[in-house]
Amino acid sequence: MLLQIHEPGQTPLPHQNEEIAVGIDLGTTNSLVAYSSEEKPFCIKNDDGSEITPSILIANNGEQISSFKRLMGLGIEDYKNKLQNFGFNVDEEKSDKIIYLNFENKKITPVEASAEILKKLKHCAEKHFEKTVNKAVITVPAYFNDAQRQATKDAAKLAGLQVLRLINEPTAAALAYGLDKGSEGTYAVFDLGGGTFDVSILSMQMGVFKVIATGGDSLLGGDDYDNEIVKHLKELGIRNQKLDFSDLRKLAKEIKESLTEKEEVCINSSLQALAKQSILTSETNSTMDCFVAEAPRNDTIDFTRSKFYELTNHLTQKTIKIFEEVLTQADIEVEDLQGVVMVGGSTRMPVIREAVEKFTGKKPLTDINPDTVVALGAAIQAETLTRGTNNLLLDVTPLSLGLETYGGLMEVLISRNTAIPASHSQKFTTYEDGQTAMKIQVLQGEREFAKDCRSLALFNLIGIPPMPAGTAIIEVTLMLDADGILSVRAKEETTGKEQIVEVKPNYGLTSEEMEKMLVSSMEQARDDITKRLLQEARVEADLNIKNLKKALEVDGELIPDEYQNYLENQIKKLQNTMRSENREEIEAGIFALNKAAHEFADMRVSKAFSKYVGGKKVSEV
Amino acid sequence: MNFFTLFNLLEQFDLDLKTLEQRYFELQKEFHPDRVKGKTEPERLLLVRKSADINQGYRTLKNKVSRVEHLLEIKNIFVTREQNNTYKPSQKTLMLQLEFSERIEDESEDKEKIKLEVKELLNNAFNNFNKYYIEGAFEQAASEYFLIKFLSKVGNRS
Repeated sequence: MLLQIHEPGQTPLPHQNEEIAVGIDLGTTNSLVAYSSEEKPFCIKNDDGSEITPSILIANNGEQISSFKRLMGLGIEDYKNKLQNFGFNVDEEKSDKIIYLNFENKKITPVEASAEILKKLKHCAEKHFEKTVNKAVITVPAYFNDAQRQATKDAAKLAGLQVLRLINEPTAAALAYGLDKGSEGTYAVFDLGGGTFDVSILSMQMGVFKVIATGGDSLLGGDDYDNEIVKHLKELGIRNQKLDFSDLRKLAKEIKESLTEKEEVCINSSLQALAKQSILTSETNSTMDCFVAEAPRNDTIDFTRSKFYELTNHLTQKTIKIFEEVLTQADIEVEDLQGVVMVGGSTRMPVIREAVEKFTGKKPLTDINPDTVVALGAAIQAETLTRGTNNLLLDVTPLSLGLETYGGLMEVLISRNTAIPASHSQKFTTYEDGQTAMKIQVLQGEREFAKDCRSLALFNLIGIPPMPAGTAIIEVTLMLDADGILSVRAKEETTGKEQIVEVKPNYGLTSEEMEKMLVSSMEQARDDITKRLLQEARVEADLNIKNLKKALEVDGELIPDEYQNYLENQIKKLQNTMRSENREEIEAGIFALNKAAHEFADMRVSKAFSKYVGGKKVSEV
Repeated sequence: MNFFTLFNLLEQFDLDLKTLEQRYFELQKEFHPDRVKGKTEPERLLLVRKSADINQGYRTLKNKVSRVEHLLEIKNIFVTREQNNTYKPSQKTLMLQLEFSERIEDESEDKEKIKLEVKELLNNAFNNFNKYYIEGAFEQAASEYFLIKFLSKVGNRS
């Protein structure tokens, strides 16, 4: 078993000067942090001695917010359409492209709430290693769109963590599971968490984990099962002025969990159990008698597993239907699966296990802890990215990416389940004489009409030289990086003028909002933030210089002496600039150095490539 | 970019998928962003694009229809909807198109039988394409492409 529990003092500590990079599972219900050394990952315990940290914020006045991961990267319209029944305390007035929650007399965004959880986990890791931790691999549901991924990255930034990589939860699970069991072949990962559902089909062989297809629903999870119970309780006439929504949710959760082992529970006893665990406040506790008295029967209500099945069958069928669709997209028959790995706390429900077994004809693989496996996989990936291992993850994008074309249609440029990184170029032309600007709308989704897809960005391409209609040719390139995050480049062909379009996300935080939050999250004077950012710029400058120097040492003979001297001068220049107190100056210096080194980089990459493709220049292949 | 060169494979239709995948893994183990450490920023950006190209190459060569398109493309024959204005489907292909669209609509037709027929026709078309291509008869190969494109569409639909 991969999961190893270390006694204090026995933990394999990283080398003295090595930076620590952790793996984080930022879940809807629970979050975990893990670390891996020599491909042996383990979870780091929090102050309560538990590996699991609830994704809940509790204010001094007892007020709580939870499940905010469901709101990441969403706007108020999404909330109104899908999540209004979840008991979030949303400030509908203030919310628009980003949601604001009322909490402790303040307005807090889901990004900030997630940042608080990340800070807690960072703190756990720092306490464990007794040193600063500022790098992490963070997992996201495979089905997260660009805005949701970006929101997760923003949360990490607020928490003072550099994201080495966002990886998909089922992929992380497969990595931990596959390495642990030495599994080879084609597997499905069925991941039902508190708020999200994902299913991925992967082929695993000798350290290569290749995702063939992935799908899911970023708004379907164990919480929905609880909500069905809540709805039913309300229908039964179980309501009480003093028993609010979140108490009912707790009760529902309790019922759900009891039904994992028992065929039947009676609500009265589960209420008492709740009281015993002092989950209910003393006030609600004292109203329990009256709560029960309002119930239709004398003292208790029986709640059977079959009733639960009946209430939630439509949810379970939804997961199986998605499973089936993903198999179709992967072009894999269900019989070809070597196994189904179950991930996420909600796969403990017998109703899910039975449905998966019925569909696949195989007993689902449940011999790993579904709560910790994702964090462990993230930790392994963090090790791969910092110290290097032999593993390689090849993941795909879950959603198609395209542009709005004439008539409001969505034209797909990068289709779903394309391996990432991925890029695609498309040429456009002007439709009016002397046209100097062009509007481009980037979309994500599977629907035919642009209005039914998620708009990721709408930008204006400006500076097109005035020419007759149809003669200016603009090439737009969409690029998805290994995190599944989009960038856009546009090039006007006749002038060769290239502009990198900074895609302003339609949903999520603008960079100004981000900076403001960064300042307020620090609880320090603005001066300290300035210092921190200045320090970060210096570190980055130093790293760039170091890497370029190393490259020159190895491959200096690839370029003429003059160019080499020029680069060395540029290095000296940046070394001087680094002493400046002006962050922007240093950042400009880094940019200048990288620009100067571009051609050298091209030659180095060509050299590496020539090993494979027989001495051609990269751009010619 | 010639993906056959990239993957060090012969420029022909027949290809061993196992070898292709093996080459794909080799290339990604070298160029995937996760495997690249201690590089300068411009190198890193170039390598992300390379990794994207490798992904695209693998996808293109793995799928038989896009492999055919790519084989033609490297001979400067452009047959896809966006690029083509020279090459047209043959009379034979058009007739077949008509025939199958009628038969698919027809309730009394055995759909399984159609499926098998299409599969056989498609295999023949691939074989013919391969033969023409090796002979250097690219015009005929291009003509065969339209048949392939149509049959694979029918195959996916039925």
